[in-house]
Amino acid sequence: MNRKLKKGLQVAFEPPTPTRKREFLNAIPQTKISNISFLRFQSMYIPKYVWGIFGLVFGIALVGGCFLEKNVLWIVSALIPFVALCVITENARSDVYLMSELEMTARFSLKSVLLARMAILGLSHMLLLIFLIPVCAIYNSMSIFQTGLYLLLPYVLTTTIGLWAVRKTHGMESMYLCMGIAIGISEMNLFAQRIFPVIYEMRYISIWLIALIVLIILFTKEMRKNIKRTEELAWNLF
Amino acid sequence: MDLEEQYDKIYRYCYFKLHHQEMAEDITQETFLRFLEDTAYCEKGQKLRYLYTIAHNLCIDVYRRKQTELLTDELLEDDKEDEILTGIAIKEALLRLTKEEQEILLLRYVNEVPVSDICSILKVSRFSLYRKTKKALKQLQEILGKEDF
Repeated sequence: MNRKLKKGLQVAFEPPTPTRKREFLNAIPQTKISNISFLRFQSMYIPKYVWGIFGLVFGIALVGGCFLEKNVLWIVSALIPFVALCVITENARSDVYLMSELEMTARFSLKSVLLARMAILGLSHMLLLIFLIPVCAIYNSMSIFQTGLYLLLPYVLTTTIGLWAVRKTHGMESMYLCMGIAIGISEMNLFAQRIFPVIYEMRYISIWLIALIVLIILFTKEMRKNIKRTEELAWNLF
Repeated sequence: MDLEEQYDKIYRYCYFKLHHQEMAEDITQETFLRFLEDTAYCEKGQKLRYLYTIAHNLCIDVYRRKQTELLTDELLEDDKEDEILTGIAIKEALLRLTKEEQEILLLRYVNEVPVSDICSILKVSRFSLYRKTKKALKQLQEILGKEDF
């Protein structure tokens, strides 16, 4: 709709300022749920396998890097796409199980529920990466910055392609596609490390950095599109 | 649900129905009191639909009681006070639409009520609402187009 027309409609329908609004609203008790409680409740609905994968990657890095003193960068970077897969599956869960319609009628909007869960997962993954980057860099010739790039890139790549895939496909199909994407990126990571180790050299760092920036931009765009998709499809009969 | 935001929207809706500031505010407050009384229903979701349905029914009750003394004077007075040119042009164009078309435009584009809720409030199907909205918008744009809007 034309923005000018919409603005004009708002002006045309504008009633006189209410005179007793404040007194009325102050007089009625309002039961509100705080943001922290909302996040706490939502964290309970995140499936256990998500935390299982989180724990597995954390455990491998801890045991391999800290106790066995091995270079765990390549194992961790191959596992990172599966951590990212959790974000996508969580994002598409209501669509996969055909629950979107039902969730739209629930107390909290699907958008706020998804945003809360993404915030929880995003924060936990950020903490995981903060732990993983130095652990992977200890027994490796690479700097912390390089290690960070090699871990972040597969993560962002998986989430970006995965979010695009769930937007384009529906139901269980999207879940299988996302798993395929995660496995593909993981394999590609191992393959590149074994066959073309040259791409991990310092002279190519600028290309990695540019690729990461481009992927972050694409990820933001995809995330925005996915969030928009959760809002009710206005004319979904057509 | 942000009660303050909804208060303004319900008040706007009631004012559109009744064209009387005091009465619209009374009905808005009555709507909220009735809405808050029945918390069990609120927990099941669809709060917005419930809220508008109460307001709609209360406005109909008032309209039935006071049909003889419709306060059109206040609306005209408002028109005079309205200094925004676009607002006046659209307000005049809106008067040429049916009451139902005006209500649809108010709910959909001003109060931003979801389509499913509007269907429930007006008791029409999605298809019907889609057609009516298209028709109302087309008519409005035609009227405004003629006036070089």
